[in-house]
Amino acid sequence: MKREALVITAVLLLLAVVPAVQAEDLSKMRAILEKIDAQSRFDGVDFSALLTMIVEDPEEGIEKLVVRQFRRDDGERYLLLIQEPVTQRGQGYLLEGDNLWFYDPSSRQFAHTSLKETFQDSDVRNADFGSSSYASSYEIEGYGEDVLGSFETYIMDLKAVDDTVPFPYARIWVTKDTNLVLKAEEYSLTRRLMRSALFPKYAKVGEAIIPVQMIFVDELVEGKKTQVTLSEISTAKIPDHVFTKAYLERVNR
Amino acid sequence: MRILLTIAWRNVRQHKVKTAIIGLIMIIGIMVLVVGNSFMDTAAKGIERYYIKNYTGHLMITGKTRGNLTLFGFQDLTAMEQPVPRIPEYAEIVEFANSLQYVAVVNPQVSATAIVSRGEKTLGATQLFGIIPEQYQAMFPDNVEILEGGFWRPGEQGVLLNKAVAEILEEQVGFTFRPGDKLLFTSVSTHTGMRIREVEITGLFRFKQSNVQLDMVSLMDISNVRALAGMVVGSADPAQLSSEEQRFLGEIDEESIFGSLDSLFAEVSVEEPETEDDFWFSLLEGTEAAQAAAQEDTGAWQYLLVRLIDEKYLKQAEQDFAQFFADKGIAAQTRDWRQGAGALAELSYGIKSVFNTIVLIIAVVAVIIIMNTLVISVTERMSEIGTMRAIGAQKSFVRRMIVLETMLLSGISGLVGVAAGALVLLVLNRIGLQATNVFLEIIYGGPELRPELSWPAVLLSLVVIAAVGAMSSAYPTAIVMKTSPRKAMESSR
Repeated sequence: MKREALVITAVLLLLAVVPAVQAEDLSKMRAILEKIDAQSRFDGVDFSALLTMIVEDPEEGIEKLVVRQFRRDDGERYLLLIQEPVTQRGQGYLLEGDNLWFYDPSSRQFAHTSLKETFQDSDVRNADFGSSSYASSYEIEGYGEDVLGSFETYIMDLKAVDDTVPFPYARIWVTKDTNLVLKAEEYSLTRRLMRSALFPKYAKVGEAIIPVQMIFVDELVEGKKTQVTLSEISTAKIPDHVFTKAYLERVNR
Repeated sequence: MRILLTIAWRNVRQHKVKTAIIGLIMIIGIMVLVVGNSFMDTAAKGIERYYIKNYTGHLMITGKTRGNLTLFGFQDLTAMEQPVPRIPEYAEIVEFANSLQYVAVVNPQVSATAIVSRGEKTLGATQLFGIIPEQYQAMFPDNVEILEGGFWRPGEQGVLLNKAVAEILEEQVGFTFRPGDKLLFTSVSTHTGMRIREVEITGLFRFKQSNVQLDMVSLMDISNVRALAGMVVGSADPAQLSSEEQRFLGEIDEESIFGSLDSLFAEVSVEEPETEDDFWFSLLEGTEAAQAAAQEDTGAWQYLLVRLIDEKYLKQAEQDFAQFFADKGIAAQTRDWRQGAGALAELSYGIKSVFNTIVLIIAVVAVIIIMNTLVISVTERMSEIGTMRAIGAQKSFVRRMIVLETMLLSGISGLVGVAAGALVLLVLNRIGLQATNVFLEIIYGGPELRPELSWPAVLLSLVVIAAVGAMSSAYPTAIVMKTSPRKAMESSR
């Protein structure tokens, strides 16, 4: 009788403890997402870099784009200016909060576009040029552990809380020690894998840690992918006038 | 032969139940065949007339390319990956086309898909045909109904907005578009990236004969559509890649990428601040080169539509153009109106194939039923046949008798079936079948179908019924031939 009581007590204790452990783990995962977002932001400083994008397409061959990026996370602004190839030179994107404008120098016209759209004909989404927002845009559906190459990682299954992100579902691999995203798989509403992203190189720039090499694989078109490499990185103050439509017009004169 | 016919006719009349069952099956089968095939033939002719007359012409000349290229661009998985090629040696091809006696008229076009916006608001999308109004109207004189305004004047720019598109856009803005209003058109091409054009609405129109695909098409001046389709004179130089940039080309292996623990962090040099004002405005060295490269490739076209004086010249035209392209070494090709018309025309023909398959299945089932009925009938008459054999009738006589009996039945049933089918078609023709939804509109090739008796369908039905008769009589005949006259006579005891 005594033994039975002991077993029942143990089971009840276990039942009480398991959810608590899970809740603790979940809050730990949420904290990791917040850390990922925080360390990708440039608070108090501006950021600029030269982006080299290699778009590999089984039909079109290889295209190289050179893009100058200016970014100010206070106010969620960025300006992208395409320098190469010559047929796209001068085209630009200006983000002001939630508003993203595309500028076509051949007609000197601006058109409203979306962060969810692809950047030109690449596999990069316009949202990929800003700071990450995993904690505010997604909730955690599940989590686990995995080893990716030589790295111990957490895997998190994420579900978007609104429709502001390009993909409604994502699975990310985050290093346990440094909390850096190594890989992301992004899914459609029907949970079809749309894109995979790899982040093989990071760099510490000021207080932030950002990926300086990225590979985006189109999972719908076999053999299509885009690699992005950052160079000429600077955290120097960028003049306010750079984040304006007038700048895009003037730089094209 | 006369004796055979007399015996066969006697048998047909004597076994009334059997005759009625087999006859009815055959009549219904033939009627279904005649009505169904006439229906599909009328629809096919309608679709053909509808597309050729209204927006495809008989032939479409394009640059040589793989994939399912239609007037609306590529309609397969390569749609977003490859641009519609320009027609090489366009002027030479036009000159050749005009020199052919059987070519009535030609019309060049360029196609693009664009997002339509106004201010900060994205309103929707439209397919654009870049055209020269005079040439387009000469090719398709009856299909464009101007509702307001008109085409842009020669040498000017503008868009003739499809009313169906306008209604979708208007829902977003809450007012009605009028000639003089301006819209922003944005498109993406693999060659030139995104392009924006602000274009004035010069008029609103509708296609008199339209469908869901054509309802999305607006007509725009060729200059703006060329820009939106990325048809500029400049071309990007082949990409020169460093060894580091080539590292991830081709297959990538995650394990090797993340294989080294110390590979994750890269040393980067954070550069000194730029203070010079010049820096910010000299980032685009060589804007002149970009402007020159962005200039319109005047004279470039994606499609040349050809209307013939008669459809009978279609095969000849295809051969003549193929020969011309081969002789001159021009990388161009012809596609017929069905390829040009796109998914909807293909769907109509796909449905016809499905229908024909169903008819084939019905025919097979009919053969089995008729065969079984005949086997029973022949078995019942086994003693009679045995007696005939015993008094000297040859095997071939008995075989011909059974075949003739079946053919007689098939012939009469076939004619009655054709007559019944013709009657049904006459009624349907008088009433007219209205397409109450998009699916039916695709099958009918328009909003209404008035099916007519198709003689090829009648011929096909008669061939089918003859084949059914011949096949149905084969098995019972074989049974009779295997049975000896003595056994056959004994079977009646």
